[in-house]
Amino acid sequence: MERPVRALLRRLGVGLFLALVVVLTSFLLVKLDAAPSDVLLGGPTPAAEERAQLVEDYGLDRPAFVQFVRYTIRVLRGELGRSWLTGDPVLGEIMARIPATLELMLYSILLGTLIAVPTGVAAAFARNTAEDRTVRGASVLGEAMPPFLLALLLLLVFFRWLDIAPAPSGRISIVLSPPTAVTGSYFIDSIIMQDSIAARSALAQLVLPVVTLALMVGATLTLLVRGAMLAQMDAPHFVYARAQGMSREMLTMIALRGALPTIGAGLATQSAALLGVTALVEHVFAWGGVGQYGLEAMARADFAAVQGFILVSAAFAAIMHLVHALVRRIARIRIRRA
Amino acid sequence: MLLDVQDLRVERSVTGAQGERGFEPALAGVSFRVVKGRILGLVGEHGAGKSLAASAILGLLRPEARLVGGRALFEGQDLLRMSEADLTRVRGARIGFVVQSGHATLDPNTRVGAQLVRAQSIHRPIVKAEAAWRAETIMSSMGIPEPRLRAQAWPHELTPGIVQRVVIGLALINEPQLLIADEPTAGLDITTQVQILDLLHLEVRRRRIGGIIITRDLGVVAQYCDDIAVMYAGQVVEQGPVGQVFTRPAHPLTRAMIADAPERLALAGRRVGGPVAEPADGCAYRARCPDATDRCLVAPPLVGAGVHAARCHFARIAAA
Repeated sequence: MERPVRALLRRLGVGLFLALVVVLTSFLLVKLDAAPSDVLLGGPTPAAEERAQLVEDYGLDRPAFVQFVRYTIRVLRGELGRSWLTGDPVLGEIMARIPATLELMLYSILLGTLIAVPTGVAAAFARNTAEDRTVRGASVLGEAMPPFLLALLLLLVFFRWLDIAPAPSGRISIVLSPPTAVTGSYFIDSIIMQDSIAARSALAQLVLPVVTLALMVGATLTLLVRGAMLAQMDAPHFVYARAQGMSREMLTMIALRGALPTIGAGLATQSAALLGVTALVEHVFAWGGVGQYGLEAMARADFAAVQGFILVSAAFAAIMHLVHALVRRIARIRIRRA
Repeated sequence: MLLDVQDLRVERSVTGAQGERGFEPALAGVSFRVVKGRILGLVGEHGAGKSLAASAILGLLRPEARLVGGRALFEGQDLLRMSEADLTRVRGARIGFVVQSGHATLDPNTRVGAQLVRAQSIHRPIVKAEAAWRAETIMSSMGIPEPRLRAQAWPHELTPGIVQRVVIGLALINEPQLLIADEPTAGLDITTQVQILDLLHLEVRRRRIGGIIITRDLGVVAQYCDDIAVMYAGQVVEQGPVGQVFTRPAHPLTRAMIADAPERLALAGRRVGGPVAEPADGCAYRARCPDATDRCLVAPPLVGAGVHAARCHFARIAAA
């Protein structure tokens, strides 16, 4: 078999195994509790027939292994159970919240990259100068900052003191109604519906949470870009490019091109871990996304919802790691060529 | 006079045993000259400071090294005091640079022909088709067969010999006045080495430009250079026209190197004693010198007559 195909199959195998581990973890979460049926139903006083139905559905009178297999089959069918708080299917609730979270993450990654690449490049060119040290110091500070604290600080300054940011009350002003869902992004949907007031409000609501997350993403990414650039700048071909009299812009392009696989892979890894950070920021801004949903479910011990959140987070992380693996593959082909 | 390097001083950062940072001299006042139409052979053992001198002149010192003093007058302008922007206009345009280890020197992400076109575009506005034609022309005059085909190749697809021809082409494409070749044949097989050196020699002669060949191989100097500067521990210990220096070497190191040449020098390049030992003051070479006396505890002056000079108390130099 051809090598790339085999590698891809192996990765798929690893992925399947990991998926099983995640499902098992999610399953054990419920199993660990003393009274599983109560937990599953959630409410403290389940009616007798509801309880019997539940025992029947989940096979709670059967061995743990059978329960696990049944649970796995349910997950594969997309049946994630119902939230005891709302009584609605968890899958539907999560799906409805995914666009909000994706929108937040996407803009944050974009803005974070826009901040990190020029800053990291400048720091690399100014290696070991005061400028470089300042950038590194700020990045480490940004990495160390708890996301909710940064969010609260930004709110304090721009909402409370300067009063130029809107209240942290979700994705659109509370006096406006959300636009008809097309893409799920309030901002883009408002534009499609040609509702400029809604679009402006959606955009204003996005600013602070996106800035918070972008600073978190940007801090880590800046150091990554700087390191990747320095590795390129120490390579003989870069020194030779300088000997040819290339301008700073041309040198940047050459080094950036070589550093791109490293930066892309780092970005993918970082995005995989971003959901956890996003959850905290969503909570502060009452964003109503998947992250906030998961956090609230945990606070209320809404187990079916927590299970759903775990599965969705794991799926997202798995996708980002697949992207990471692909970027690395392309990079390795490049290196073999070099 | 094309290039006049005077008293070039460079320090290198070192980390001491206790982790303290400091600087130690790496070039302790290097002087040499390059005249139009002549090739200078900069020769010395590994670590003598030959490549460092070239990097310093071109403003390409690595971050751990720093310039302390000296002048490098190129066409009357001091390269060491030039702004980075002005240096950029000199590098690759008026000074061509050929480096060692050809494969790693070409941009791995750009086709060879495109790199030759880009090298032209750095220094003047170009017409794409004309620049591509010039790229092919220079490839063919560098002795690269089927230049049109090779121009489409990626660097990794070429043999080391061809890569080095491309590197020389890159160095010459903007018709520089000075060509600096830093160990241009390192890592090449013997046959290719001879071809590359023949090519370099021919191009410098044909274009009537100045050349510097940095090498550890005295045989290369004898065959391809007009002048020689022997370096040891960051200093030029002997310099002069190749004929005079080879017939009447005045410095003990030069004598040892000539006695050792050709085979062992060509092979290892690090013969003539052990690692470079640098006494704190006095003659840097005295720890390894067979003729050393108490006089060598004092730093030797440059003893010379005319163009031939050596840094040794006992140098006897006859006027040419």
